[in-house]
Amino acid sequence: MENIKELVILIAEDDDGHAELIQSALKESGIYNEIIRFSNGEHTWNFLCNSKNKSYKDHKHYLLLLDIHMPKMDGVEVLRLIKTDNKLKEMPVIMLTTTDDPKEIEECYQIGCNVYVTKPVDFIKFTETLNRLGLFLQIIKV
Amino acid sequence: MKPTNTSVADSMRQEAEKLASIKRSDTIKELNKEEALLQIKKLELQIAELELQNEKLKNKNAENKTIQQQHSIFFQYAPTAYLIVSENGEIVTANNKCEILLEKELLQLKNFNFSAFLASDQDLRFRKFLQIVFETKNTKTTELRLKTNTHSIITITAIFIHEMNYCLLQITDNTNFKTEFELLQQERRFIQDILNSQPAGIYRLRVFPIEKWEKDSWRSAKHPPYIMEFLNDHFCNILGISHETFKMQPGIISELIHPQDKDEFVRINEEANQKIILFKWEGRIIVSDKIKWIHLESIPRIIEDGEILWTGLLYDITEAKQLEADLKLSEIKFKNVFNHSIVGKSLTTLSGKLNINNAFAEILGYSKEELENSSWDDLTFIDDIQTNKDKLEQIISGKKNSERWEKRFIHKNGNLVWVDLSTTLLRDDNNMPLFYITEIIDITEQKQAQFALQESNNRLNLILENSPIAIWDWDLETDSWFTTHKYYSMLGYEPETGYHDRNLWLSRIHPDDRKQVQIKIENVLHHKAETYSYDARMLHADGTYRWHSVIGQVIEHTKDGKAKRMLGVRIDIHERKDIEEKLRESEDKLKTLFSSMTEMVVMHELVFDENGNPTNYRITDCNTAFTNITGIERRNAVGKLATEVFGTDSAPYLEQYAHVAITGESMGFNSYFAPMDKHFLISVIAPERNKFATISTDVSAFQQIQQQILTKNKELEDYLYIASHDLRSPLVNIQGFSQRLQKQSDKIKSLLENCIIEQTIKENIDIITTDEIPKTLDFIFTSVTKMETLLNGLLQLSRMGRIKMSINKINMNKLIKSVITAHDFQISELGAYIEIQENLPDCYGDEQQLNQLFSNLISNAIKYRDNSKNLNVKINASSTFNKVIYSITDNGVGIAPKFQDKIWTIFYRINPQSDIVGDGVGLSIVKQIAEMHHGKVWIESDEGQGSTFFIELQKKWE
Repeated sequence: MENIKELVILIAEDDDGHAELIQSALKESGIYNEIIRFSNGEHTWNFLCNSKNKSYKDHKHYLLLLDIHMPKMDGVEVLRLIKTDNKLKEMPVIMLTTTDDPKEIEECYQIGCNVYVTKPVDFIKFTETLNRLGLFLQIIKV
Repeated sequence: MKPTNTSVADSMRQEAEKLASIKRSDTIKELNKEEALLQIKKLELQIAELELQNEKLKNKNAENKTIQQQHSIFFQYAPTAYLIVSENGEIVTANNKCEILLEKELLQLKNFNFSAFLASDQDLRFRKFLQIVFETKNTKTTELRLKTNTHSIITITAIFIHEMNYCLLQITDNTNFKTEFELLQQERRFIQDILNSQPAGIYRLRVFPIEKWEKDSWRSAKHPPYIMEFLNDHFCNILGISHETFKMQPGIISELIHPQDKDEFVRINEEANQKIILFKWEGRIIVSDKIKWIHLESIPRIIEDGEILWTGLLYDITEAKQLEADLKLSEIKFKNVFNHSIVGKSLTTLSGKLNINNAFAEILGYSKEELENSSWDDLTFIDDIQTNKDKLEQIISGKKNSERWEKRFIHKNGNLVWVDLSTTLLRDDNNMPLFYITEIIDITEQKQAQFALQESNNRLNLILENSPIAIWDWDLETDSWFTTHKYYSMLGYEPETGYHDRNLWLSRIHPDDRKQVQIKIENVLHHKAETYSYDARMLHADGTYRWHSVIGQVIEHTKDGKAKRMLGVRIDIHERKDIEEKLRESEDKLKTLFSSMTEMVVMHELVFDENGNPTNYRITDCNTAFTNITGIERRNAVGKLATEVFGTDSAPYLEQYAHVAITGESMGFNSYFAPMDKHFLISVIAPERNKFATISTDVSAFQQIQQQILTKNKELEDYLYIASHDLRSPLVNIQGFSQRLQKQSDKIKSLLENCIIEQTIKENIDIITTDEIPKTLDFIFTSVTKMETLLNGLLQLSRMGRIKMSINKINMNKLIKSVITAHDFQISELGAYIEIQENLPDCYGDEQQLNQLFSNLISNAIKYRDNSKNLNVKINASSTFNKVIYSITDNGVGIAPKFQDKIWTIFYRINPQSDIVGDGVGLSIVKQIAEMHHGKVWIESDEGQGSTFFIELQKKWE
C-alpha cells in the first residue's frame, strides 16, 4: 500500500471541467493518491523532464492520464517523447481522451501507451470507466 | 366394057386379098399358134374347094343355058339357091332353096324385088351391082347381107342371060365360113395384142445347126447364126431398135451387149445350143449410151434339119437392179443408223420382243442383252405405265399413225430417266400391224432444267406478286405496252384491259413531274434514248401522291438497228423517298450542330499493322471547335495520322480508342493532355467497326475549379473533424456536471429534510428537488445524448475523408463472405436467406472501406426488413469495360420514390420515431465511400416490395 501511496497521478487535461470530473470520480472510487494536473502537453512534458533529473531518492512513481487534444503539445506527441526517453519509458501512460478514432488508438498503442480509454459522454459510464481505471491502478505494480 | 373390066379387076383384087390374108394367116400359123394354123389350113382347103365348085357351076350355067328347061327340075331342086331377076331386080323365078334362104313361099317371092330381102344398106349396092351386070353382060360376084332373121351373109354370083335379058342369081350362104374367118382374124389380133402388151419382150429365134455357124457368129452382127422369127413390141422397146431394123439386121443384138458381159453372153449361148438346155442370162446392154440391165430366158425345141427353135422372154431389170443396189445401200445405212445413232431406237414386235440399239441401252444403263430380255412395263416408271398404254392404244386402234410423248424410264441405277419418246406402228400392205419403231432421246437434263426454270419462274412470280415492283413490256413500233397487274394495283387502280391509255397515265403523274416524263417517253419513241428512267409522284387511287421509280432498257432492235422493244420495272419508292427526305433534314441538322458545337467532334479510323494490331488512327473529319480549341486547321488534320497531327511519338489514348472502335463499347474519361497542357473530358463512341468519334470538352478551367473545390472540401472535412471532436468535450462537461448537479440537488434535499423549515417553503423546495430539477436535467441529458449521436455521425463521416486509402485488387467473393459472416448471428436468428452470385467480379478499392460499405448495406437490409416475410437478400454483379456494378436486392419494406433521393443525406431518417436504431449516417457513409472510389451508388425500390442498391466501382485503378 505504501508503494501505492507513493504513486503520483499526473493528469494532462486542457479542459478544466474534464479535469475536475476525473479527479472527483477518482476520489469517489477510493483513490487518494497525490494528483497533479497539467492543462497542456508542454507543461506535462516539462514537469516530466524536471522530475527525471531529480535525485533517485526524491524520485516518485508517476502514472500519466494523458488527453490527446491539447494546446501547445498534443498528447500523442507527449506519449512519443515519453516512450522514446530511456528514463521515462517505463512510466505507465493511460490515454484518456474523447477521441475514439481507431486510427488514433492504433497509433497510441504502437507508440507504447499502456491503456487507451475513451471518455464516454454519458457521465455514469464515464464514472464507471474511471472507477475501473482506479481499480486497475490499484492492481498494477508500479 | 368398063363394068366387065371392073368386075374382073374386082375379082382379081379379091383374090389378092384372099392371098394376102392367107399369107397373113401363114404368119399366124407361125406364131406358135398351132390351132390357128390348122384352121387356116382347113380354110385354105375349103376356099380351094369353093373355087372349084364355083368353076363347075359356071360351066354348068353355060351348058344349062341351052338346056334350061331340061334342067328346070335340077334348077328347082338344086342344093344352091337360084333366082332369076329382071334388070330392076324383080324376082322372076326362084328355086326351092330360095324358100329356105329368103323365108318366103315361092309363089309369093315372084311379086318381090330381091332388094326387099336385103339389109337396108345393101339395097343400093345390089342395084348398082345388077346394073353393072346388065351393062357388061358379064358374070359377076358380090357379097351381101340378108334382111332375114338369119342375117345371112350371102355370095351372089350374077350371070347375065342373053336370051331372056334376065339375070340368074346364084346365092351361096357364106355365113358360116365368114364368121370362122373373122373369128380367126380376131383371135390373131387378140394374141398379137396379148403378146405385144406383155411387160416382157417375147421372141423366137430359129438357130442353125452348130456346124453351119460362122466364126464368131454370136459375137458379131454380120452373120448371126439364127433367123429372127418373132419379136413383140416390148422386145423392140427394151432394146431400143425398131421392127424394121431387126428385119434388116437380126444380129444387132450382139452389138448391144456390154463389152464386159459379152464373153459370158456368148459362152452361155453356145453352151445352151450345144446342150439344148434352158438359156438364162443377165447382163448389161448399152442403149443410146445408157446402161440397161436385161434378163433373157428361153426354151429350146429342136425342129427339122437340126435347127433349134428358141422361144423366150426378155426383161428390163435395170430398175430392179438399181432398186436392189439401193436396197443394199439403204440396208447398210439403216443398220448403221440403227446401231450408231445417238438416239435410242428400238423395234418391238407386237408380242413385246425388243430389239434395241446401243444408244437405247446406254440411256437406260443396261446392256443390250439385259434390255432385250425385259419388257417395256418393267422399265417404265409406274406412274407412266397407264399413259404408255393409252398412247399405244391410239396407235393400235389406227386413230393415229404415230405418237410422241415424254415419259420416265427407270435407269439401272434406280434413277428416273426422262425421255422424249416417239413411236410408229409399221403396218403391212393389208394394214396389219407388224412392229413398233420407237425412238427415245434422253431429256433428263432438259427436264431438270425445265423444273428448275419452272421453280425459278414460280419464285419470280411470287416475288413479283409480293413486292412493290411492276414489270412492263413496251412495243415501241406500235407504242403499246403490256404490264403486270401490280402496275395498277400498286396505285390502287383496277388493271386496264385492251390498249393502255397514255394520256390517262400522264394525267396521273404529278403536274410538277409530268413534263420530264413526257420528254423521256418522246425520246424513247424517237429513238433518241436506249434507256428510260425517272422518279415521279403518281396519283394513287386514294388521292395521295406516291413516289415511283421507273427504269427500262431496250432489249430488241429492228433489222435497221432501231429500238423495237423495251422492258422495265416500276417500283414504289415512296418510303425510301420519305426516309431520304427525313434523312436529309436530319443530316442538315446534324451538320449545323456539328459545326456549331463548342465541343470538339472528331471522327477517326484505326490504322493497323500487318499483324492486325492497332498502331495509330487517322482523322477523317473534325468540326470548327476542333480548330478553335486546338489551333489545328482542318486541312492539317483531316486525312492525317494522329501522331502527325499532335506531333507525338504514339497516338494519344490509342488503347482506349482502339477498345471502343473494336468492341463498340462507348466510354468516357477525363484526361490531362500534356502536349496542349489542357484537361479534356473525352467521350468515345464507335459508329462502326474500326471507326470512332470523340467528343471532347476542354475542361481545363473546370478542372482548376474542381481542384479548388477539392481543396476546400478537404479543409471543410478537417474543420468538421476538429469541430465534431472539439464539440464533444463540452458535451462531456455538460453531461458530467449535470450529473453532479443531480447529486448535489439530492444532497440538498436530504439536508433540508433534517431542518425545520416553514411548511410552504419546504413544499416549494420539494417541488424543485424532486420534480423540476430532475425534469430539467432529463432534458439536458436527452439533448446531450442526441448531440453525441450527431457528433459521432459527423466524426465518422469526417474521418472517412481523412483516411488514407490503400487501394488493392479486392476479391469481392471473399469480402462479401466476411461481411455476411459478421452478420451471421442476426442472419441465422432471422432465418434469412442470402443468395450470392457465383464468381463476383473483382474490383479495386480499400478493403476496409468497402467492407464498411457492404456491411452498412447488409445491416440496412436486416434493419429495414419486412417482418411479414422471410428476409431474402441477393447479391449480384455485372461488369463493363472498366466498371463493375454490384447490386444488393432485398425483399424488405422498400422506399417510396419521393424519399429515394434523400436517403443519402446525412442524419436523414425516413421515420425518426421508428424503433429501429440508427444514427442516420450509414447510407451517407456508403455514398461517401463509393465516391471516394470514383464510383457511385443508386437505388431502385418499390415501397413494400424491397429495394435494390447498386454500387458501381472501378474494375481498374490508375
